[in-house]
Amino acid sequence: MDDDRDVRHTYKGRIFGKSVLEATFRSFYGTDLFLGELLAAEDLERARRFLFRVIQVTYGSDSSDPGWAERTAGAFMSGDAAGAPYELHDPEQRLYKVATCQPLGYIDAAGGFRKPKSLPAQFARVTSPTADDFAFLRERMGDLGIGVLRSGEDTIDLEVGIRGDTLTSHVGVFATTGMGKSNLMKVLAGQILASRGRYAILTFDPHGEYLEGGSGLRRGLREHPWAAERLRVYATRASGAGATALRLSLAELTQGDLQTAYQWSHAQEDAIYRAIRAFGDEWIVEIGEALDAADLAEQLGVATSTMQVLQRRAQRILDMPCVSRDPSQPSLAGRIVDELMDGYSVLVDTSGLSSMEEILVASVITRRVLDAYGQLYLEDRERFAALPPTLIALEEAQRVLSKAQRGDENVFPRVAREGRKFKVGLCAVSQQPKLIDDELLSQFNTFFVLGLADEKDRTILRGSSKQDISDLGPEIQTLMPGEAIVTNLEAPFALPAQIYLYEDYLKSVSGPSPLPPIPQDAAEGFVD
Amino acid sequence: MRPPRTGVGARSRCSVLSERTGILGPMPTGAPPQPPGPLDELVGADRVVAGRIDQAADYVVRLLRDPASEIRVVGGQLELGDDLVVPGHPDDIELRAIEPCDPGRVWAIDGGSCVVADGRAFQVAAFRAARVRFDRGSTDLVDAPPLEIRAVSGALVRDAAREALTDLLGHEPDAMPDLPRPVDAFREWGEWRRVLDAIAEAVTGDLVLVDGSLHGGPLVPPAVVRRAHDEAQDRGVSLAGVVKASTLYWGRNAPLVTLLKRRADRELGPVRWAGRISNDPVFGRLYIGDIFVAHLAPTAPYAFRVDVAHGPAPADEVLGRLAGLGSDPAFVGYPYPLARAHQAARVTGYGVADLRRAFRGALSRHGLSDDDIEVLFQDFHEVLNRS
Repeated sequence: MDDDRDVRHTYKGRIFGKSVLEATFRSFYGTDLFLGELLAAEDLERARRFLFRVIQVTYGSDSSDPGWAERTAGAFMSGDAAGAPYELHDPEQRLYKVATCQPLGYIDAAGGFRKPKSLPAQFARVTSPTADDFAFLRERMGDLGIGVLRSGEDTIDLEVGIRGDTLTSHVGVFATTGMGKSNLMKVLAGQILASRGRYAILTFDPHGEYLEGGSGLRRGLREHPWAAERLRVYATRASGAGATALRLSLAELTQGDLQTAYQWSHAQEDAIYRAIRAFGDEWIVEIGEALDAADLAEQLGVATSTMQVLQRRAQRILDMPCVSRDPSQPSLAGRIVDELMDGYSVLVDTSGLSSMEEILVASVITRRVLDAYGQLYLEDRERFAALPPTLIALEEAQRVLSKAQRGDENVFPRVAREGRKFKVGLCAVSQQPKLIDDELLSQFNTFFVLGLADEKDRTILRGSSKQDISDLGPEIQTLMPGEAIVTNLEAPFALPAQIYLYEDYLKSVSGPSPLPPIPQDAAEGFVD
Repeated sequence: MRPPRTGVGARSRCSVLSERTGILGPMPTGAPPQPPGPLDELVGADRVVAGRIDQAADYVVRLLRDPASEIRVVGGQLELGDDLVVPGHPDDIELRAIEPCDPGRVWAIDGGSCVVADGRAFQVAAFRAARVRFDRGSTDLVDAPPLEIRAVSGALVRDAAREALTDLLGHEPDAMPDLPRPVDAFREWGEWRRVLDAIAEAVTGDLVLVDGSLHGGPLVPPAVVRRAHDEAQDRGVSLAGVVKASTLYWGRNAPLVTLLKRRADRELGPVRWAGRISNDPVFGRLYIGDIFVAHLAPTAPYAFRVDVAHGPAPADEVLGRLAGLGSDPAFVGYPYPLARAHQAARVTGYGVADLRRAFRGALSRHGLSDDDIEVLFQDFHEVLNRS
């Protein structure tokens, strides 16, 4: 009996068409088929095992009348209306399901995986895949596991992840709110943390949820077994023990940082040029502390209203607790760069800052990282070779990667374009990928696509993904929290994944080995 | 000297022949086609003699309105002779509610057939009779045997008929039916063979359903029906027949089932009902049970003639079981097992094409040339319809 159930659970149906790039198979009426479900078909004629992904499921019947189903539904409704509910007898014998599948490829007789270029045998038997069917993926899954392979609503015992050295070719994490972005980011950051210096990550945490876990029972990176040894935390406000107060020097702020963080009109940009010409590096202080904006405007030959905007923004910057105007106070940006170079994970808690201020801080530090890594690339290849691939993670990345933000002074597009060469990758977290410059998006080799409701968001990702995800629109639309599609150059096809729940993941991580206990008589021996 | 084969002389001879004999007549030149005359009317793209559609409609309406004062069972049956005619009026037939009940275990038999080749003087027929068993809400047996293929001509038909009827009756038949369409006869005999088999396999309380009337029709001797009835009674099995194309009429031509359905729609609305037709004592003498017109589901678009044999269960109970079987939304008001039996027995259009192709192959293997096969299968209607 159990065997029968197992067979029924495994056996899904028979293929009946239809092309190399799209397969259809008939399944039992009672068989539950899910979008994104992975299936296998045995082609005994050619000793190949084809792998498929379900992209659509419909009903079928053996009736030759194309209007049968509609009419039967109408008959049901008539019965309901007349108070005589009808009952479809033998549904399993009269109805069935038709699944449309995207062929993923096939495993040849030698066990090698090949892209789909031929048809599976007509009427080939379709079954659930086994972990062995995806064994070829193991070596491509990399050392930063983030979940397990998902097949519809089930999972397959195969860890899905990415190679750490691909972090520098940029990572995109895209999802609507509540679909698991933060959880995924914590798992990814946790894996980098657990790599013990092989890789490094700089995370800007605008809500403190990466560090503390957010609300309720959620846990954060602070509770990671390797946090004490390998996590460095900076906070722009008092953040309790374990965090260093972030301090940046006013002199570090470049015009590019300001242009990245704020939207400036041409008149305002012109006013900044004039102020720099007049006051040099002290221009922010001069403007921020000027008693009369009108006088200053007249002095610089700009409109008073323009000067008032500049002054408000300068004052906000001067008021930021993490910005020091005292040149004797060294910036901690250099220390952050050093820690990253040493393979530490660095988290900058920017909670409390406005969106623009957060970008300003991220821009300053990112610029320092990119410049430092770039400098080593040019001047010390040996030391550069020892640098860990470093990922810079930024929430709501569309703020700095949109077409409107394309200016040469913006450091983030620079990281996207040039960072790979310098071992610096960008991790763009966004719920609106449609706002990201598609040219920049195409620089991202790894996508983690979680549930995305907006068709425009899915469309932009289709165009930039390293695997064809054009058939996966319905699946992406119906992804549940924690379910993801992973695309990168290493995977042979877009991989459906179930992301580890960070709290579960933590249980599987073993931290640093404790020191061995001191032998009981060790001290005595010395005394003797 | 021989006349030149080509040239002016030859051309002029052809012209003269045509003009002189006038067989073809002069080619019409320039005259446009005539519009429809005043007596014709255009229906779609074709012309119809004016008024004919209305005349036909008027005839049908009058026919249905008040055709006669008797109920007629047309088609009779072998050995019965003329139609059965009894006094009656559709409005006088009592329509009673049917209470659906658990159908229990039900067997259903239906046949399917087709003509593989028709050489006028002979036919090659394919047929089978299928049976299904419905138990506890689902079909647990579908027995669709392989198609039987028979080549029959005049003499062969009689031999084959005698053989089949002897099997059904248990003895040589006293009389042989006329067999204008042998394929129908083979199918019906096959169905009754399966009915007898089903009754033999059924257990007490089962219901065996036949596609068609329980009166056999012109091809099935009443003795076959009686045998089935006797065996069913012996085994405590109920027997019923459901007729899709009824031969019950009011008067000579008004279809009684349709008339009762319309009356019930007006008077009762969407309910299950049955009207007993076999109220006259003459039915009791001639038939093994009662004839009803039954509407087996509230919203069923059709009513059917239902024959219920006298048996272990009263007719009301059998009708209730049939109503319990008429609740499938794909076949509302028709007993579901009969629908399944029909599907199991039928020969689809693709099936017919496959059979014909296989038969042509067999003819070729048996030495008939391709040209002869072509002639054998040709049907000039196809040429006419294609051209």
